[in-house]
Amino acid sequence: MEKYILNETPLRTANNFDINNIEVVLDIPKYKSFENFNIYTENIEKIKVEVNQNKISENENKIGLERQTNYSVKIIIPENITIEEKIKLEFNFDEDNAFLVENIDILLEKNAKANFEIQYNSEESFSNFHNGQLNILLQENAKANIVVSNFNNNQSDNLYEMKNELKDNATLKYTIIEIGGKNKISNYYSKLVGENSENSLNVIYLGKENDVIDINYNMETYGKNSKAYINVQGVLTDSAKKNFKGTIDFKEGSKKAIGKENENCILLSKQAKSKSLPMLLCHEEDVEGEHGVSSGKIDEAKLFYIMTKGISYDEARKLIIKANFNDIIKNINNNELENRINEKIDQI
Amino acid sequence: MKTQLKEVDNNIYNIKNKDEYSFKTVGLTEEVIREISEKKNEPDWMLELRLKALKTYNELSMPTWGPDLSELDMSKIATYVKPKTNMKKSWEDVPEDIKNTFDALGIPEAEKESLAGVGAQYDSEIVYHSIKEELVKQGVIYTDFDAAVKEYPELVKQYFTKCVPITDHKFIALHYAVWSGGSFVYVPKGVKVDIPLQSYFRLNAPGAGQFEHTLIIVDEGASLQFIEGCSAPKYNEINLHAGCVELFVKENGFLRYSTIENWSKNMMNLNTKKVVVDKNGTIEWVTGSFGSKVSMLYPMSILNGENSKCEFTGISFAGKGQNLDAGLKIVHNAPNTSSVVNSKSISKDGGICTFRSDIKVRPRAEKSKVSVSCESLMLDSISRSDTIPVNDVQTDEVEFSHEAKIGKISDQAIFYLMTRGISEEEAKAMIVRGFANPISKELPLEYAVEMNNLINLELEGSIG
Repeated sequence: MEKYILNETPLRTANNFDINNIEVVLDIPKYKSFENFNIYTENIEKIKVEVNQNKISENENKIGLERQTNYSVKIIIPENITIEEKIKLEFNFDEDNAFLVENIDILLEKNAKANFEIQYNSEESFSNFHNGQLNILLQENAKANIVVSNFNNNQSDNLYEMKNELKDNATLKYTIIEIGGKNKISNYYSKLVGENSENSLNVIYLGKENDVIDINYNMETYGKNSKAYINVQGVLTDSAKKNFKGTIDFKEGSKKAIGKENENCILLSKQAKSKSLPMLLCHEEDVEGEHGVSSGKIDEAKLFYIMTKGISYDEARKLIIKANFNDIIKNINNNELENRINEKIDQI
Repeated sequence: MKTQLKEVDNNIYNIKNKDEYSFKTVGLTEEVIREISEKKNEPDWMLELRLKALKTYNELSMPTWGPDLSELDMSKIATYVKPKTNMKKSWEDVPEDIKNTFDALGIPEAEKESLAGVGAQYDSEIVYHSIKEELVKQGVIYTDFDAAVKEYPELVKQYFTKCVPITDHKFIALHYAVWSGGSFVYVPKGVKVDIPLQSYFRLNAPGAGQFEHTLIIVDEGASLQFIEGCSAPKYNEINLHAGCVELFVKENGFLRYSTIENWSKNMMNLNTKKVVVDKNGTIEWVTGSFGSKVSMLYPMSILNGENSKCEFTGISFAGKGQNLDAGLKIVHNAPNTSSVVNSKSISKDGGICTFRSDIKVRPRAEKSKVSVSCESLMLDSISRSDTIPVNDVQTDEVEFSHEAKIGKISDQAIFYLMTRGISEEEAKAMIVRGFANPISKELPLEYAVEMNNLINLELEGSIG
């Protein structure tokens, strides 16, 4: 067991506000190999896939925990290729595969289009450790839809770092389902370097028992007319603690850029703690930026209304949470995933 | 149509008097502190407190966040500059050059027209203090802080450092080590002071620091409006302002604390303000920050009593060479407390405005409400505007909402005004004044005019 200070915000604020970073105690197992990786695609002949084990990562590390990878996957979608069916990457933890430090690199060349689903599962009751990194590069006019789901069990540590770079007219739709793990520490860094590039990030988080959630998202607009959207919906119950740190950083020259950020946290217990730091940083006059955050318990008027229809208190509560998540879930367009998320909400 | 506001005399804030003083200390050592205390003929407990604060200052580290403070060299700052006069009760007795400065700033005139009392500090000491007789009869105390230490020692001891402790941060420790001047106000139970009191702080000496201490106690059911103004002429050396404001609002009390700050652009303004509000009490902060090279200012409200309220209305205007890091801290520490924050900022000519906040809702603050709104206006692309708000919710029974917007002056609005025959320059100025209007309308008329004048002054030649 060791104490680590991780996930520094892009800009520091006063130390006693206690949000510049997160202090966590982690029991990091010794380096082991990982075998349980699957890739599902009907278009393997159209894309390039490279899988390596035991490779040293030289990538920049924003979470701040030293990484020696035991798995790496590189996928290239060549120029002008469109892959309609989703490409699914699945990492399944079990007792023999309880340690994963992976790199996933996804490159979409010019005019390429693809959909990815990346899933981390550990259904059994054992402790596992995950420290992943997902890097995405979209060249001119490329379009990608990425869904990352963390369904690790509630004893696991889950650290995840995502980095994107978007060139001219590139569009990236990103969804993160942050459900599993007792420590959920994630870092998302997106550089919108291209003109008219667009990145929307939709996130669902769920914290229970003594979960610690530390979310650190940062989108930087460089290109003219670039668009950055962050929409985060979460629920905390029991003694869960959450830090949301979301930054939209308008860099000089990103004229007509738009950045919007929104976080909504439903608190289901008196012991749950919600902290948020929605930063707007601006070095360009001609931009449009806004953020909004809200925290509080479930709207009692809504609860009452649903209960008058003969639905129990517990069911009504779950219905409202599902409704809050609904916009994000429906956009994923994946029934299996929707059912799994709803199952997790039912277990609250 | 040109604005109907009075023409601004560009130079009133920059009047430089000869650097004359009767006594001066430079630097921050134990010897300097003993000298200040001896000159003030203070009680021993105050000297001990100063020395303890110096020790704390030396132990604490510089902030690892916010604006760059590396230009500040405490060994060069004049920590105490005693003007060549004692405190006077009539403007006629104040030395002519000092009186002329305050005349130009409009203080004696405002006193006649719209104030119930005035304190005027010049460098390290209060040079003029007055209060209307009817308030004295009602038991209101308004005096300079040095006098309060001697005349009301029990009251001062009961409250001094109790709101803002010496250990709060490095610059508050500095303040307690070398504090001088400031105001002391006590409003007895049930007394309503309807006309505002005003303290004005003027720093004339180049390379000097001003460390005034303001302590206000609004007792049960009492109310007060207090206005604080600050300015200084511009020098090449760095000047430092590390004042401290300690406020106490007792049960059912009301305090509105308004500040118009126009320090010169060589000033490091590292001021600390804090209030403790009891049951059903209300604090209203109204603040306009225009001056200084660097500001770090986050008035803190501790809502300790049930149903206590905080309202914060503030505007910052950063121009060339300015880095204004301002905001607030609020702690909701009792049930049914509420806070409403409305903050605006304008950046131009490379100026940096940062809104920084920390709002905590403690577990016991059930059924509390928080509403925060921040708006920033960028007048060009060489400036910066950052919003860094921390929202810390520790209970579920709360309504917490925070929203912020950032943007430019709408081209459509300018075009519309120009179709009505208004020049582009005036159209932009009108929009900026409109943007600032929610703040200026909260100020007494004279100060709203002053704020508008400051905006006009800042905008001159910068847009259009």
